[in-house]
Amino acid sequence: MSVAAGARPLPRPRRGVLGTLAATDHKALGAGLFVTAFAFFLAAGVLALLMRSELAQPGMQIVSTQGYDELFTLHGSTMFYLFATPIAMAAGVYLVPLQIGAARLAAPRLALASWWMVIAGGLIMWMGFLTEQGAADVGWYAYVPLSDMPNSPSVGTDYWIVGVILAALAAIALSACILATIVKLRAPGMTMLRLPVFAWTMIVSCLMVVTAFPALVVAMALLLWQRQLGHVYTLPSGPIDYQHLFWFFGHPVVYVVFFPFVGAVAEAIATFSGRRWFGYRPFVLSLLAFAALSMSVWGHHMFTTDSVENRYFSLTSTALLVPAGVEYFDALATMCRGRIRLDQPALLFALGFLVLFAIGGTTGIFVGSPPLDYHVTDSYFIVAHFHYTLFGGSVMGLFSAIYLWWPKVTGTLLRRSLGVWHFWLTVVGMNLTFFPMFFLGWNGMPRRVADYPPSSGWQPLNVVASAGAWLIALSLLVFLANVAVSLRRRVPAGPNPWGAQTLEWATSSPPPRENFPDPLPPVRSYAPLLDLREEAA
Amino acid sequence: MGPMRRPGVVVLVWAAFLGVLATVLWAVFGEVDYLSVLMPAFAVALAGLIALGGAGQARRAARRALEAQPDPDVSWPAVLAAIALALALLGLEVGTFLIFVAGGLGLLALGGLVREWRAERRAVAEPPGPPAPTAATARRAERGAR
Repeated sequence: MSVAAGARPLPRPRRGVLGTLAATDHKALGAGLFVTAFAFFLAAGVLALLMRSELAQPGMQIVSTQGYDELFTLHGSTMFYLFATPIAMAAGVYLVPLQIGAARLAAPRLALASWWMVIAGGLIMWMGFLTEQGAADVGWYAYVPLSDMPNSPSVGTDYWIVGVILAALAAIALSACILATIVKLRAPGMTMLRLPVFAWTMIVSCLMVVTAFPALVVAMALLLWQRQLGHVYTLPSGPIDYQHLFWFFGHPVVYVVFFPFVGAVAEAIATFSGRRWFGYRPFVLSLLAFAALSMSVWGHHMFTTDSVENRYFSLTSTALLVPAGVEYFDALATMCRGRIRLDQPALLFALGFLVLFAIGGTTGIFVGSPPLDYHVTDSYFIVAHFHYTLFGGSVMGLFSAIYLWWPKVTGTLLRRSLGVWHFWLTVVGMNLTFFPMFFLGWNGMPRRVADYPPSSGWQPLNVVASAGAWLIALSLLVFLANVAVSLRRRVPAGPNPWGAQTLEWATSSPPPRENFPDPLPPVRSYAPLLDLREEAA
Repeated sequence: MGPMRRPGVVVLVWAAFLGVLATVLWAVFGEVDYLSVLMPAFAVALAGLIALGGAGQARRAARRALEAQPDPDVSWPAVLAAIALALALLGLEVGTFLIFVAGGLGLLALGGLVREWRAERRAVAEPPGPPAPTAATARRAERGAR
């Protein structure tokens, strides 16, 4: 068994399982939130497998139409509210204090309560499956009037609304904690323009959460009121007002769950290219512009309602290409002439992120054009597009982050060969699943349908998509096997096994309670450890 | 980019981007969308709050306090508060009795949090050293001296 250079014996955990459930240390909190969110990811994945299995052939084989509606509602809701947002926040809670040289997270009790709100929200949301009328069946957006009492009388829908409110409040509170940590607890010398790239991506994500998520809380509270007492969305403009409130949250959330993984990918690319992140300042400005633009595009989800200024929202949606282009340019320029370590799963997933998100982003520009959007709206084309952004973007970025920071969090190394297998199975499975959906949607297959006529000619592509979904499940099993093997037969990682550049790698793996028992290295740039190495050379 | 050293300015830059987008909507397309207008206003307010919160002596004092502040290793009252909130919301659907249960748990949580905060304040105020004598230890010390 190999031991990484500079490795020290692994410290013993200091608190039991019960203590971990109420720990205020940001590392225990971040890890707990991460595990919770990943468990919801696996649960939502099971729902996706059920749906894909149902769609593999025409006719109803596995679930009823009502059951299918519940499956896609809980799949989408769980992925957004209980997996993607909390896991992005978990990464911030764990890593931001370490990256900025802080000993703690600001307002740790609030963060702890937020973790429990995510757990409670998730359980309440899923509790709908135990009720007589079943879980919520209104989609993750719960459009009015489809979600009002006459159209969705299930108590599961009320549980779902309560769950969404809890998850949204948790996200707002966690964002406030992370922002306060960055504002108040930076180490001496850590100015805003010396923050690591990942910390910057967390800043813009958290800004968007504190601005956009209150709209969701309001929309859901009013929806609950509407269902119980009425008189809220009953005016003729009610459904459109609801959509404004929902999409004012619903589009930014895509970026909230995307930016942190842009940061993770950037850190992975810089680390495994052995180079400083290229164009730091333009990158920071482009992030702020990106965040501002992405809060101004919500109307493109409403092109077909004829109730928004389509030209404006088309302009802002298309303009997203500019900051995205800056970020792609920076990533490519960082790798240019670098010592690229292509054998590392973290970098493979980062490169996969760049390629797959490019497909999702480009098709986003496509549907940002109203005439084209009219043709494909509510079709499988949209399903393909957003899965390329969310799975190709966020999930690939998430795995890049996991392979990059696993040694820091656990003090052990994941197996590289299993990681490479995991990567290739994910890439093949993901493309098999979602690429055929572009053609299905273009040819008119609507989304959110449990069945399609045999004469439609859609079955072959649906079979391919379903096979791809099972391949993704296999790739996740390989990942879980890698985690199990690595935790059982531990290979100590040492403080900085990758030769990374930011402050979290200046302390032991895993870090002690106080994070930095020894004096911090001087902070003169956003890559202080690289500065030290360059000075020594 | 020099002034972007301060966190408040970062939010102001973001507010400026949002303001430009809201202006384009109004000036070019002739629309006033209340959400577009609210966003830059909110961002400016947030920047102001951050700037105020971080100003001068107050900022340094707050920072010292935060750095010195010892967090408890575990905080069950915080967990209880979250559970109370969840039960209160669920009570809106399930029944009033659950809201009362949540209220009770909320009070317990509040009491626990107040105890934790007071213990923290004491820990920050008292210099590190042996624990202050209690009435019992003081009596024992007096008897010993006699």
